[in-house]
Amino acid sequence: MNYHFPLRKDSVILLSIMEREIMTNEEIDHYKDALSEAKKSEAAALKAALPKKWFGIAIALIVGGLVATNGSEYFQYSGYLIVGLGLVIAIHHQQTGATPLLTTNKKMGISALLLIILFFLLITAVVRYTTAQLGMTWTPLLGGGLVGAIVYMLAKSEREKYITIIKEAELEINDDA
Amino acid sequence: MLDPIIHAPNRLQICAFLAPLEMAEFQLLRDHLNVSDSVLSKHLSKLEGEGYLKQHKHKVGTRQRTSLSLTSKGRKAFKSHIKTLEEIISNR
Repeated sequence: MNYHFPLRKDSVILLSIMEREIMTNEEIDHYKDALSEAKKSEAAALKAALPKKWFGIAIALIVGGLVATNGSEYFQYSGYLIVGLGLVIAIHHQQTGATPLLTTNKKMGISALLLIILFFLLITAVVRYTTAQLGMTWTPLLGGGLVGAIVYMLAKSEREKYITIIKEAELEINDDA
Repeated sequence: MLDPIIHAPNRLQICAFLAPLEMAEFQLLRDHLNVSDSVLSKHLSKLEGEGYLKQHKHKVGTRQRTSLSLTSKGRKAFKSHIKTLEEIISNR
């Protein structure tokens, strides 16, 4: 531990330090060290929760496969893919031991999830229509490929976003040091 | 205002570690802090008692695991604590 807690257990002492106009250099250093330790911990947490490369690829393949099977005559196999999706998420979680916070705004998170599900259902419906009504038997593959590619791009950009945050945090820590 | 519950070094690190996460496993946090199970448990109980943290026990195979997450009260308190620390430093 790089810094000590000089404020004893009594919060009154903490308040008195806050109320004082003059702080000693030692006290300022203490706060700087505390902030630096906090930043290091945040960066370490993000590193631990960083989604693995294989995770994005696996999720994209499974979701793409779900659209393809649901839109084709092989829709009875989609149950296996749903189980596979659950397994991939569980294995990834077990490997990382942490789940990144996607959004602190619950409403926004739910809206985004609903939009994704709606998009998924829409593509599946279009694929089913084109296959059954227009006889275009290649559309399940095209729809699956399209959804898979979108999911992969989303996963990739999310991973890159985390890498950027980690790099920024590390730069900030180095600057402070 | 600085929060005396959060400001203790290990507890500040616990909150900082959990802040960007939905949840983290007990073992991961213990390894990051490099402390024993009992020391970490003591700090977690303190934060939980204040309503800043939630512990969720679950079984993976035969093993008992504990997932940890900050509550919205804990997130707010941590954010405010960090803001105060930054203000103190920038005002000097």
